[in-house]
Amino acid sequence: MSRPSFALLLRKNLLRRPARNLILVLCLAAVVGMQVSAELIERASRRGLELGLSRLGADLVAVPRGLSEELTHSFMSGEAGLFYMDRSLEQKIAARPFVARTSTQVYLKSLAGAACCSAWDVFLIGFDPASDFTVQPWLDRNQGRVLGEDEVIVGAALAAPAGTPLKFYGRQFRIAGSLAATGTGLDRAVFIPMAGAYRMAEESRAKAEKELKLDPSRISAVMIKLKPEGQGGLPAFRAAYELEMQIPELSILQPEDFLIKTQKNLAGTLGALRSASLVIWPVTALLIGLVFALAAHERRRELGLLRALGATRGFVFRMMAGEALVIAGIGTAAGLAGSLGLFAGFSRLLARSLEVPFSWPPGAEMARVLSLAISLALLTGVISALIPAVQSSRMEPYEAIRRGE
Amino acid sequence: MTAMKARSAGAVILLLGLLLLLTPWLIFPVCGVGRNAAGVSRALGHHGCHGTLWAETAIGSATIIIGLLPLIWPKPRVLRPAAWASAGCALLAVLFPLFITGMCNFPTMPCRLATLPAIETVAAFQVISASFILLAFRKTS
Repeated sequence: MSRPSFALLLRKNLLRRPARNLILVLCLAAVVGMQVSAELIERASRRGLELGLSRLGADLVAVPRGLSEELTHSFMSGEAGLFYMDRSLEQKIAARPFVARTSTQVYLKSLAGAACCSAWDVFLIGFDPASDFTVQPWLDRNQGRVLGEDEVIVGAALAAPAGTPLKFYGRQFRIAGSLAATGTGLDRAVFIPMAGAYRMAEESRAKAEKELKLDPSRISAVMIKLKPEGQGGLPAFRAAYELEMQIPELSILQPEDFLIKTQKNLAGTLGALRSASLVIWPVTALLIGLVFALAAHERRRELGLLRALGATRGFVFRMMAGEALVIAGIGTAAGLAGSLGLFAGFSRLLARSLEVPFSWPPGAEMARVLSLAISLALLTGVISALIPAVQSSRMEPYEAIRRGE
Repeated sequence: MTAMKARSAGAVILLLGLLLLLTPWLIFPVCGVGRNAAGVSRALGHHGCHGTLWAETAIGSATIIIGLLPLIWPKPRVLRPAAWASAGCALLAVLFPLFITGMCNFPTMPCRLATLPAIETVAAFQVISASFILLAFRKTS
Protein backbone atom coordinates (compact mmCIF):
# COMPACT_ATOMS: atom_id res chain seq x y z
CA MET A 1 0.00 0.00 0.00
CA SER A 2 1.40 3.40 -0.97
CA ARG A 3 1.83 6.12 1.67
CA PRO A 4 -0.88 8.78 1.60
CA SER A 5 0.51 12.17 0.70
CA PHE A 6 0.45 15.09 3.13
CA ALA A 7 -1.87 17.04 0.82
CA LEU A 8 -4.31 14.11 0.58
CA LEU A 9 -4.43 13.81 4.38
CA LEU A 10 -5.11 17.54 4.69
CA ARG A 11 -7.90 17.36 2.11
CA LYS A 12 -9.55 14.35 3.72
CA ASN A 13 -9.38 15.93 7.19
CA LEU A 14 -10.84 19.21 5.98
CA LEU A 15 -13.67 17.56 4.04
CA ARG A 16 -14.59 15.41 7.04
CA ARG A 17 -16.24 18.38 8.79
CA PRO A 18 -17.31 20.65 5.91
CA ALA A 19 -19.97 22.61 7.81
CA ARG A 20 -17.67 23.42 10.73
CA ASN A 21 -14.84 24.43 8.42
CA LEU A 22 -17.21 26.50 6.28
CA ILE A 23 -18.23 28.51 9.36
CA LEU A 24 -14.56 29.21 10.13
CA VAL A 25 -13.94 30.22 6.51
CA LEU A 26 -16.95 32.55 6.57
CA CYS A 27 -15.86 34.17 9.86
CA LEU A 28 -12.38 34.81 8.51
CA ALA A 29 -13.81 36.05 5.21
CA ALA A 30 -16.02 38.50 7.14
CA VAL A 31 -13.07 39.80 9.18
CA VAL A 32 -10.82 40.20 6.13
CA GLY A 33 -13.65 41.66 4.04
CA MET A 34 -14.53 44.30 6.63
CA GLN A 35 -10.90 45.27 7.24
CA VAL A 36 -10.10 45.55 3.54
CA SER A 37 -13.35 47.41 2.81
CA ALA A 38 -12.66 49.97 5.56
CA GLU A 39 -9.10 50.49 4.30
CA LEU A 40 -10.23 50.73 0.67
CA ILE A 41 -13.00 53.20 1.43
CA GLU A 42 -10.66 55.41 3.44
CA ARG A 43 -7.78 55.33 0.97
CA ALA A 44 -10.01 55.67 -2.11
CA SER A 45 -11.78 58.68 -0.63
CA ARG A 46 -8.48 60.28 0.40
CA ARG A 47 -7.10 59.76 -3.10
CA GLY A 48 -10.31 61.05 -4.67
CA LEU A 49 -10.19 64.14 -2.50
CA GLU A 50 -6.52 64.80 -3.33
CA LEU A 51 -7.29 64.50 -7.05
CA GLY A 52 -10.44 66.59 -6.75
CA LEU A 53 -8.74 69.39 -4.83
CA SER A 54 -5.74 69.44 -7.13
CA ARG A 55 -8.13 69.92 -10.05
CA LEU A 56 -10.52 72.35 -8.38
CA GLY A 57 -8.39 75.13 -9.82
CA ALA A 58 -9.82 77.80 -7.54
CA ASP A 59 -8.24 78.95 -4.27
CA LEU A 60 -11.65 79.93 -2.88
CA VAL A 61 -15.28 79.48 -3.86
CA ALA A 62 -17.89 82.10 -2.96
CA VAL A 63 -21.53 81.03 -2.46
CA PRO A 64 -24.58 82.73 -0.93
CA ARG A 65 -24.27 83.26 2.82
CA GLY A 66 -24.83 80.09 4.86
CA LEU A 67 -24.87 77.74 1.87
CA SER A 68 -21.30 76.43 1.93
CA GLU A 69 -22.55 73.01 3.13
CA GLU A 70 -24.78 72.74 0.06
CA LEU A 71 -21.83 73.37 -2.24
CA THR A 72 -19.60 70.76 -0.57
CA HIS A 73 -22.53 68.32 -0.76
CA SER A 74 -22.94 69.00 -4.50
CA PHE A 75 -19.24 68.69 -5.28
CA MET A 76 -18.94 65.46 -3.30
CA SER A 77 -22.14 63.71 -4.32
CA GLY A 78 -22.72 65.11 -7.79
CA GLU A 79 -26.25 66.08 -6.74
CA ALA A 80 -27.13 69.58 -7.84
CA GLY A 81 -27.42 72.24 -5.13
CA LEU A 82 -29.82 74.87 -6.33
CA PHE A 83 -28.95 78.21 -4.79
CA TYR A 84 -28.53 81.61 -6.35
CA MET A 85 -27.18 85.09 -5.61
CA ASP A 86 -26.91 88.37 -7.44
CA ARG A 87 -24.40 88.52 -10.30
CA SER A 88 -23.17 91.93 -9.11
CA LEU A 89 -21.42 90.20 -6.20
CA GLU A 90 -18.77 88.96 -8.63
CA GLN A 91 -17.74 92.57 -9.30
CA LYS A 92 -17.41 93.20 -5.57
CA ILE A 93 -15.15 90.14 -5.21
CA ALA A 94 -13.05 91.00 -8.28
CA ALA A 95 -12.51 94.53 -6.91
CA ARG A 96 -10.56 93.21 -3.88
CA PRO A 97 -6.82 93.88 -4.35
CA PHE A 98 -5.79 90.33 -3.41
CA VAL A 99 -8.04 88.67 -6.02
CA ALA A 100 -6.39 87.77 -9.34
CA ARG A 101 -9.27 86.23 -11.32
CA THR A 102 -12.91 85.33 -10.88
CA SER A 103 -15.28 83.18 -12.87
CA THR A 104 -19.00 82.65 -12.30
CA GLN A 105 -20.97 79.41 -12.33
CA VAL A 106 -24.68 78.66 -12.23
CA TYR A 107 -26.03 75.33 -10.93
CA LEU A 108 -29.03 73.53 -12.39
CA LYS A 109 -30.51 70.05 -12.35
CA SER A 110 -31.96 68.02 -15.20
CA LEU A 111 -35.51 66.75 -14.80
CA ALA A 112 -36.21 63.23 -13.56
CA GLY A 113 -38.45 60.96 -15.59
CA ALA A 114 -38.87 63.49 -18.39
CA ALA A 115 -38.54 62.74 -22.09
CA CYS A 116 -37.00 66.20 -22.63
CA CYS A 117 -33.83 65.23 -20.66
CA SER A 118 -31.29 62.60 -21.76
CA ALA A 119 -30.34 61.75 -18.18
CA TRP A 120 -32.11 62.27 -14.88
CA ASP A 121 -31.11 64.50 -12.01
CA VAL A 122 -27.80 65.38 -13.59
CA PHE A 123 -25.85 68.23 -12.03
CA LEU A 124 -25.70 70.86 -14.80
CA ILE A 125 -23.05 73.51 -14.28
CA GLY A 126 -23.27 76.64 -16.35
CA PHE A 127 -19.83 78.24 -16.69
CA ASP A 128 -18.38 81.20 -18.54
CA PRO A 129 -15.89 79.84 -21.12
CA ALA A 130 -14.26 83.28 -21.54
CA SER A 131 -13.28 83.74 -17.89
CA ASP A 132 -13.17 80.06 -16.84
CA PHE A 133 -10.00 78.72 -15.26
CA THR A 134 -11.43 75.68 -13.45
CA VAL A 135 -13.15 73.51 -16.08
CA GLN A 136 -11.43 73.81 -19.46
CA PRO A 137 -7.85 73.24 -18.27
CA TRP A 138 -8.93 69.69 -17.35
CA LEU A 139 -10.38 68.72 -20.70
CA ASP A 140 -8.85 65.38 -21.70
CA ARG A 141 -7.88 66.99 -24.99
CA ASN A 142 -7.45 70.70 -24.55
CA GLN A 143 -9.08 72.00 -27.68
CA GLY A 144 -7.83 75.57 -27.51
CA ARG A 145 -11.10 77.04 -28.73
CA VAL A 146 -14.09 78.68 -27.08
CA LEU A 147 -17.12 76.41 -26.77
CA GLY A 148 -20.27 77.16 -28.70
CA GLU A 149 -23.66 77.64 -27.01
CA ASP A 150 -24.78 74.14 -27.89
CA GLU A 151 -21.58 72.35 -26.85
CA VAL A 152 -21.07 70.79 -23.45
CA ILE A 153 -18.24 69.22 -21.52
CA VAL A 154 -19.05 66.09 -19.49
CA GLY A 155 -17.46 64.66 -16.36
CA ALA A 156 -15.37 61.49 -16.60
CA ALA A 157 -18.20 59.21 -15.48
CA LEU A 158 -20.38 60.39 -18.36
CA ALA A 159 -17.63 60.26 -20.95
CA ALA A 160 -18.93 59.64 -24.45
CA PRO A 161 -17.39 60.34 -27.88
CA ALA A 162 -17.28 63.96 -28.98
CA GLY A 163 -20.34 64.87 -31.00
CA THR A 164 -22.68 62.59 -29.00
CA PRO A 165 -26.03 64.40 -28.69
CA LEU A 166 -27.44 65.22 -25.26
CA LYS A 167 -30.79 66.79 -24.49
CA PHE A 168 -31.64 68.88 -21.44
CA TYR A 169 -34.94 70.75 -21.03
CA GLY A 170 -35.67 69.97 -24.67
CA ARG A 171 -32.54 71.74 -25.98
CA GLN A 172 -30.08 69.68 -27.98
CA PHE A 173 -26.40 69.85 -27.04
CA ARG A 174 -23.36 68.03 -28.39
CA ILE A 175 -20.53 66.69 -26.27
CA ALA A 176 -17.38 68.66 -27.09
CA GLY A 177 -15.10 66.80 -24.71
CA SER A 178 -14.85 65.05 -21.36
CA LEU A 179 -12.91 65.93 -18.25
CA ALA A 180 -10.25 63.76 -16.70
CA ALA A 181 -11.52 61.76 -13.69
CA THR A 182 -11.39 63.48 -10.29
CA GLY A 183 -13.21 60.91 -8.17
CA THR A 184 -15.58 63.63 -6.95
CA GLY A 185 -19.24 64.21 -7.78
CA LEU A 186 -18.10 66.54 -10.56
CA ASP A 187 -17.32 63.43 -12.60
CA ARG A 188 -21.08 63.05 -12.95
CA ALA A 189 -21.73 66.67 -13.91
CA VAL A 190 -22.33 68.26 -17.29
CA PHE A 191 -20.71 71.65 -17.94
CA ILE A 192 -22.72 73.96 -20.18
CA PRO A 193 -21.53 77.36 -21.44
CA MET A 194 -23.42 80.04 -19.51
CA ALA A 195 -25.04 81.47 -22.66
CA GLY A 196 -26.30 77.99 -23.58
CA ALA A 197 -27.70 77.50 -20.10
CA TYR A 198 -29.65 80.76 -20.24
CA ARG A 199 -30.86 79.91 -23.76
CA MET A 200 -31.96 76.49 -22.53
CA ALA A 201 -33.95 78.18 -19.74
CA GLU A 202 -35.56 80.59 -22.22
CA GLU A 203 -36.62 77.79 -24.54
CA SER A 204 -37.72 75.42 -21.75
CA ARG A 205 -41.20 76.93 -21.57
CA ALA A 206 -41.90 75.66 -25.09
CA LYS A 207 -39.65 72.60 -25.32
CA ALA A 208 -39.45 71.09 -21.84
CA GLU A 209 -42.05 69.30 -19.78
CA LYS A 210 -41.35 71.66 -16.91
CA GLU A 211 -40.11 75.21 -17.29
CA LEU A 212 -36.61 76.03 -16.06
CA LYS A 213 -36.71 79.37 -14.29
CA LEU A 214 -33.30 80.97 -14.50
CA ASP A 215 -32.78 84.70 -14.24
CA PRO A 216 -29.64 85.87 -16.14
CA SER A 217 -28.88 88.27 -13.28
CA ARG A 218 -28.48 85.34 -10.86
CA ILE A 219 -25.45 83.08 -10.40
CA SER A 220 -24.69 80.23 -7.98
CA ALA A 221 -20.99 80.55 -7.20
CA VAL A 222 -17.88 82.55 -7.95
CA MET A 223 -14.59 80.69 -8.39
CA ILE A 224 -11.74 82.82 -7.06
CA LYS A 225 -8.05 82.72 -7.92
CA LEU A 226 -5.87 84.70 -5.50
CA LYS A 227 -2.75 86.66 -6.35
CA PRO A 228 0.52 85.11 -5.18
CA GLU A 229 1.45 86.32 -1.70
CA GLY A 230 4.53 88.14 -2.98
CA GLN A 231 2.42 90.13 -5.46
CA GLY A 232 -0.16 91.60 -3.13
CA GLY A 233 -2.01 88.35 -2.44
CA LEU A 234 -3.11 86.91 0.89
CA PRO A 235 -3.08 83.38 2.28
CA ALA A 236 -6.36 81.60 1.41
CA PHE A 237 -7.70 81.58 4.99
CA ARG A 238 -7.01 85.29 5.40
CA ALA A 239 -8.56 86.14 2.03
CA ALA A 240 -11.65 84.07 2.94
CA TYR A 241 -11.98 85.98 6.22
CA GLU A 242 -11.56 89.36 4.52
CA LEU A 243 -14.15 88.53 1.85
CA GLU A 244 -16.71 87.30 4.38
CA MET A 245 -16.17 90.43 6.48
CA GLN A 246 -16.36 92.86 3.55
CA ILE A 247 -19.21 91.18 1.63
CA PRO A 248 -21.70 89.87 4.17
CA GLU A 249 -23.89 88.22 1.49
CA LEU A 250 -21.18 85.59 0.89
CA SER A 251 -19.84 82.43 2.46
CA ILE A 252 -16.35 81.50 1.31
CA LEU A 253 -15.18 77.91 0.97
CA GLN A 254 -11.59 76.80 1.25
CA PRO A 255 -10.21 73.43 0.10
CA GLU A 256 -9.98 72.34 3.77
CA ASP A 257 -13.77 72.51 4.00
CA PHE A 258 -14.01 69.61 1.54
CA LEU A 259 -11.57 67.59 3.63
CA ILE A 260 -13.59 68.21 6.80
CA LYS A 261 -16.82 67.27 5.02
CA THR A 262 -15.27 64.02 3.68
CA GLN A 263 -13.97 63.04 7.10
CA LYS A 264 -17.35 63.79 8.66
CA ASN A 265 -19.22 61.75 6.05
CA LEU A 266 -16.89 58.78 6.37
CA ALA A 267 -16.61 58.70 10.16
CA GLY A 268 -19.76 56.65 10.79
CA THR A 269 -19.19 54.03 8.09
CA LEU A 270 -15.51 53.53 8.85
CA GLY A 271 -16.21 53.42 12.59
CA ALA A 272 -18.90 50.75 12.13
CA LEU A 273 -16.76 48.61 9.81
CA ARG A 274 -13.68 48.82 12.00
CA SER A 275 -15.51 48.17 15.27
CA ALA A 276 -17.37 45.19 13.80
CA SER A 277 -14.11 43.80 12.49
CA LEU A 278 -12.39 44.37 15.85
CA VAL A 279 -15.18 42.46 17.60
CA ILE A 280 -15.28 39.58 15.10
CA TRP A 281 -11.51 39.18 14.87
CA PRO A 282 -10.83 37.92 18.43
CA VAL A 283 -14.05 35.88 18.38
CA THR A 284 -12.88 34.19 15.16
CA ALA A 285 -9.43 33.53 16.58
CA LEU A 286 -11.04 32.01 19.68
CA LEU A 287 -13.42 29.95 17.54
CA ILE A 288 -10.58 28.56 15.42
CA GLY A 289 -8.64 27.64 18.58
CA LEU A 290 -11.71 25.98 20.08
CA VAL A 291 -12.61 24.06 16.92
CA PHE A 292 -9.07 22.78 16.54
CA ALA A 293 -8.92 21.81 20.23
CA LEU A 294 -12.17 19.86 19.75
CA ALA A 295 -10.89 18.29 16.53
CA ALA A 296 -7.67 17.26 18.23
CA HIS A 297 -9.69 15.72 21.07
CA GLU A 298 -11.96 13.82 18.65
CA ARG A 299 -9.03 12.60 16.60
CA ARG A 300 -6.80 11.42 19.45
CA ARG A 301 -7.05 7.77 18.41
CA GLU A 302 -6.39 8.57 14.77
CA LEU A 303 -3.41 10.78 15.63
CA GLY A 304 -2.09 8.07 18.00
CA LEU A 305 -2.37 5.50 15.21
CA LEU A 306 -0.58 7.85 12.82
CA ARG A 307 2.25 8.23 15.36
CA ALA A 308 2.33 4.44 15.93
CA LEU A 309 2.64 3.95 12.15
CA GLY A 310 5.73 6.13 12.13
CA ALA A 311 4.50 9.68 11.75
CA THR A 312 6.81 12.08 13.57
CA ARG A 313 5.68 14.78 16.03
CA GLY A 314 6.63 17.33 13.40
CA PHE A 315 4.35 15.63 10.86
CA VAL A 316 1.34 15.76 13.24
CA PHE A 317 2.09 19.40 14.07
CA ARG A 318 2.45 20.30 10.41
CA MET A 319 -0.80 18.53 9.60
CA MET A 320 -2.81 20.45 12.23
CA ALA A 321 -1.15 23.78 11.41
CA GLY A 322 -1.58 23.08 7.69
CA GLU A 323 -5.32 22.56 8.13
CA ALA A 324 -5.56 25.91 9.94
CA LEU A 325 -3.49 27.56 7.22
CA VAL A 326 -5.71 26.16 4.44
CA ILE A 327 -8.88 27.35 6.23
CA ALA A 328 -7.33 30.78 6.81
CA GLY A 329 -6.17 30.91 3.19
CA ILE A 330 -9.60 30.09 1.77
CA GLY A 331 -11.27 32.53 4.18
CA THR A 332 -8.81 35.27 3.22
CA ALA A 333 -9.29 34.65 -0.50
CA ALA A 334 -13.08 34.69 -0.10
CA GLY A 335 -12.95 37.88 2.00
CA LEU A 336 -10.66 39.64 -0.47
CA ALA A 337 -12.68 38.55 -3.50
CA GLY A 338 -15.91 39.62 -1.81
CA SER A 339 -14.71 43.03 -0.65
CA LEU A 340 -12.88 43.87 -3.89
CA GLY A 341 -15.78 42.65 -6.03
CA LEU A 342 -18.39 44.56 -4.04
CA PHE A 343 -16.20 47.66 -3.92
CA ALA A 344 -15.66 47.55 -7.69
CA GLY A 345 -19.35 47.05 -8.37
CA PHE A 346 -20.87 49.42 -5.87
CA SER A 347 -18.17 52.11 -5.52
CA ARG A 348 -20.20 54.67 -7.49
CA LEU A 349 -23.30 54.00 -5.42
CA LEU A 350 -21.21 54.11 -2.23
CA ALA A 351 -19.57 57.40 -3.24
CA ARG A 352 -22.95 58.88 -3.99
CA SER A 353 -24.64 57.72 -0.81
CA LEU A 354 -21.69 58.54 1.49
CA GLU A 355 -21.07 61.80 -0.38
CA VAL A 356 -17.36 61.26 -0.63
CA PRO A 357 -15.00 61.32 -3.60
CA PHE A 358 -13.70 57.93 -4.71
CA SER A 359 -10.68 57.05 -6.78
CA TRP A 360 -8.89 53.67 -6.71
CA PRO A 361 -5.61 53.92 -4.80
CA PRO A 362 -2.43 53.31 -6.82
CA GLY A 363 -1.21 49.71 -7.27
CA ALA A 364 1.58 49.87 -4.70
CA GLU A 365 -0.79 51.19 -2.02
CA MET A 366 -3.36 48.50 -2.88
CA ALA A 367 -0.68 45.82 -2.69
CA ARG A 368 0.34 47.06 0.78
CA VAL A 369 -3.27 46.97 2.04
CA LEU A 370 -3.94 43.52 0.60
CA SER A 371 -0.66 41.97 1.78
CA LEU A 372 -1.23 43.31 5.30
CA ALA A 373 -4.75 41.84 5.38
CA ILE A 374 -3.53 38.48 4.01
CA SER A 375 -0.67 38.28 6.53
CA LEU A 376 -2.92 39.16 9.47
CA ALA A 377 -5.58 36.61 8.48
CA LEU A 378 -3.10 33.80 7.89
CA LEU A 379 -1.33 34.56 11.16
CA THR A 380 -4.68 34.58 12.99
CA GLY A 381 -5.50 31.13 11.61
CA VAL A 382 -2.14 29.57 12.38
CA ILE A 383 -1.62 31.15 15.83
CA SER A 384 -5.15 30.20 16.95
CA ALA A 385 -4.50 26.55 16.08
CA LEU A 386 -1.00 26.56 17.55
CA ILE A 387 -1.82 25.26 21.04
CA PRO A 388 -4.01 22.32 19.87
CA ALA A 389 -1.39 21.48 17.21
CA VAL A 390 1.45 21.44 19.78
CA GLN A 391 -0.63 19.39 22.26
CA SER A 392 -1.57 16.84 19.57
CA SER A 393 2.01 16.44 18.43
CA ARG A 394 3.20 15.86 22.03
CA MET A 395 0.80 12.99 22.75
CA GLU A 396 2.35 9.56 23.22
CA PRO A 397 0.93 7.10 20.62
CA TYR A 398 -0.17 4.45 23.13
CA GLU A 399 -1.86 6.91 25.47
CA ALA A 400 -3.56 8.68 22.54
CA ILE A 401 -4.97 5.40 21.15
CA ARG A 402 -6.15 4.24 24.60
CA ARG A 403 -7.78 7.58 25.50
CA GLY A 404 -9.38 7.85 22.11
CA GLU A 405 -11.17 4.51 22.44
CA MET B 1 -29.51 13.15 5.63
CA THR B 2 -28.93 13.39 1.86
CA ALA B 3 -32.56 14.41 1.37
CA MET B 4 -32.21 17.19 3.93
CA LYS B 5 -29.02 18.43 2.28
CA ALA B 6 -30.68 18.33 -1.13
CA ARG B 7 -33.66 20.29 0.22
CA SER B 8 -31.32 22.89 1.76
CA ALA B 9 -29.45 23.22 -1.53
CA GLY B 10 -32.77 23.62 -3.36
CA ALA B 11 -33.78 26.31 -0.86
CA VAL B 12 -30.55 28.19 -1.56
CA ILE B 13 -31.21 28.11 -5.33
CA LEU B 14 -34.80 29.23 -4.72
CA LEU B 15 -33.70 32.12 -2.48
CA LEU B 16 -31.17 33.34 -5.03
CA GLY B 17 -33.84 33.16 -7.73
CA LEU B 18 -36.13 35.22 -5.52
CA LEU B 19 -33.35 37.79 -5.05
CA LEU B 20 -32.80 37.92 -8.80
CA LEU B 21 -36.51 38.45 -9.33
CA LEU B 22 -36.87 41.13 -6.64
CA THR B 23 -33.68 43.08 -7.39
CA PRO B 24 -34.85 45.04 -10.47
CA TRP B 25 -38.36 45.54 -9.07
CA LEU B 26 -37.82 46.26 -5.39
CA ILE B 27 -34.31 45.98 -3.93
CA PHE B 28 -32.42 48.09 -6.48
CA PRO B 29 -35.17 49.01 -8.96
CA VAL B 30 -34.36 49.88 -12.56
CA CYS B 31 -35.24 53.33 -13.94
CA GLY B 32 -38.93 54.11 -13.94
CA VAL B 33 -39.85 51.39 -11.42
CA GLY B 34 -40.61 51.57 -7.69
CA ARG B 35 -38.78 54.36 -5.90
CA ASN B 36 -37.14 55.36 -9.21
CA ALA B 37 -40.49 56.07 -10.81
CA ALA B 38 -40.29 59.80 -9.95
CA GLY B 39 -42.41 60.94 -12.84
CA VAL B 40 -42.67 64.39 -14.29
CA SER B 41 -43.94 62.90 -17.49
CA ARG B 42 -45.94 59.98 -18.74
CA ALA B 43 -44.65 60.63 -22.25
CA LEU B 44 -41.24 59.15 -21.52
CA GLY B 45 -41.93 55.62 -22.73
CA HIS B 46 -39.57 52.84 -21.71
CA HIS B 47 -35.98 53.22 -20.62
CA GLY B 48 -33.12 51.22 -22.06
CA CYS B 49 -33.16 49.00 -18.99
CA HIS B 50 -36.83 48.06 -19.35
CA GLY B 51 -36.05 44.94 -21.40
CA THR B 52 -33.59 43.84 -18.74
CA LEU B 53 -36.30 44.19 -16.10
CA TRP B 54 -38.45 41.60 -17.86
CA ALA B 55 -35.50 39.38 -18.72
CA GLU B 56 -34.43 39.27 -15.06
CA THR B 57 -38.03 38.63 -14.05
CA ALA B 58 -38.15 35.61 -16.35
CA ILE B 59 -34.71 34.33 -15.31
CA GLY B 60 -35.52 34.84 -11.61
CA SER B 61 -38.82 32.97 -12.00
CA ALA B 62 -37.08 30.14 -13.84
CA THR B 63 -34.47 29.91 -11.05
CA ILE B 64 -37.23 29.74 -8.44
CA ILE B 65 -38.85 26.83 -10.30
CA ILE B 66 -35.44 25.14 -10.60
CA GLY B 67 -34.96 25.56 -6.83
CA LEU B 68 -38.41 24.07 -6.17
CA LEU B 69 -37.56 20.80 -7.93
CA PRO B 70 -35.05 19.50 -5.31
CA LEU B 71 -37.43 20.67 -2.57
CA ILE B 72 -40.13 18.41 -4.01
CA TRP B 73 -37.81 15.57 -5.12
CA PRO B 74 -34.78 15.79 -2.79
CA LYS B 75 -32.56 13.46 -4.80
CA PRO B 76 -29.04 14.01 -6.09
CA ARG B 77 -30.13 13.11 -9.63
CA VAL B 78 -32.55 16.06 -9.50
CA LEU B 79 -30.22 18.40 -7.64
CA ARG B 80 -27.23 18.08 -9.95
CA PRO B 81 -29.08 19.20 -13.10
CA ALA B 82 -30.78 21.89 -11.01
CA ALA B 83 -27.36 23.23 -9.98
CA TRP B 84 -26.21 23.26 -13.62
CA ALA B 85 -29.42 25.02 -14.66
CA SER B 86 -29.05 27.56 -11.85
CA ALA B 87 -25.48 28.34 -13.02
CA GLY B 88 -26.81 28.72 -16.57
CA CYS B 89 -29.49 31.13 -15.35
CA ALA B 90 -26.79 33.14 -13.55
CA LEU B 91 -24.88 33.43 -16.79
CA LEU B 92 -28.00 34.59 -18.63
CA ALA B 93 -28.79 37.03 -15.81
CA VAL B 94 -25.46 38.77 -16.48
CA LEU B 95 -25.49 38.43 -20.28
CA PHE B 96 -28.89 40.10 -20.70
CA PRO B 97 -28.05 43.49 -19.10
CA LEU B 98 -24.52 43.52 -20.51
CA PHE B 99 -25.07 42.43 -24.10
CA ILE B 100 -28.61 41.50 -25.03
CA THR B 101 -31.25 43.85 -23.60
CA GLY B 102 -28.78 46.39 -22.15
CA MET B 103 -29.13 49.18 -19.61
CA CYS B 104 -29.51 52.97 -19.83
CA ASN B 105 -26.55 54.76 -21.39
CA PHE B 106 -25.66 57.07 -18.53
CA PRO B 107 -23.71 55.70 -15.55
CA THR B 108 -25.62 58.05 -13.25
CA MET B 109 -28.91 56.28 -13.96
CA PRO B 110 -30.20 54.06 -11.12
CA CYS B 111 -30.03 50.90 -13.25
CA ARG B 112 -26.30 51.33 -13.93
CA LEU B 113 -25.51 52.64 -10.47
CA ALA B 114 -27.16 49.90 -8.42
CA THR B 115 -29.25 47.34 -10.35
CA LEU B 116 -26.45 46.03 -12.56
CA PRO B 117 -23.88 45.46 -9.78
CA ALA B 118 -26.61 43.90 -7.63
CA ILE B 119 -27.58 41.47 -10.42
CA GLU B 120 -23.90 40.63 -10.96
CA THR B 121 -23.49 39.95 -7.22
CA VAL B 122 -26.52 37.64 -7.07
CA ALA B 123 -25.32 35.84 -10.22
CA ALA B 124 -21.87 35.37 -8.68
CA PHE B 125 -23.48 33.83 -5.59
CA GLN B 126 -25.57 31.58 -7.84
CA VAL B 127 -22.46 30.28 -9.62
CA ILE B 128 -20.63 29.78 -6.29
CA SER B 129 -23.57 27.94 -4.72
CA ALA B 130 -24.03 25.76 -7.84
CA SER B 131 -20.33 24.85 -7.73
CA PHE B 132 -20.63 23.90 -4.05
CA ILE B 133 -23.70 21.80 -4.73
CA LEU B 134 -22.04 19.98 -7.63
CA LEU B 135 -18.96 19.38 -5.49
CA ALA B 136 -20.92 18.18 -2.47
CA PHE B 137 -23.13 15.81 -4.46
CA ARG B 138 -20.41 14.47 -6.72
CA LYS B 139 -19.95 11.17 -4.90
CA THR B 140 -23.57 10.38 -4.22
CA SER B 141 -24.59 10.68 -7.86
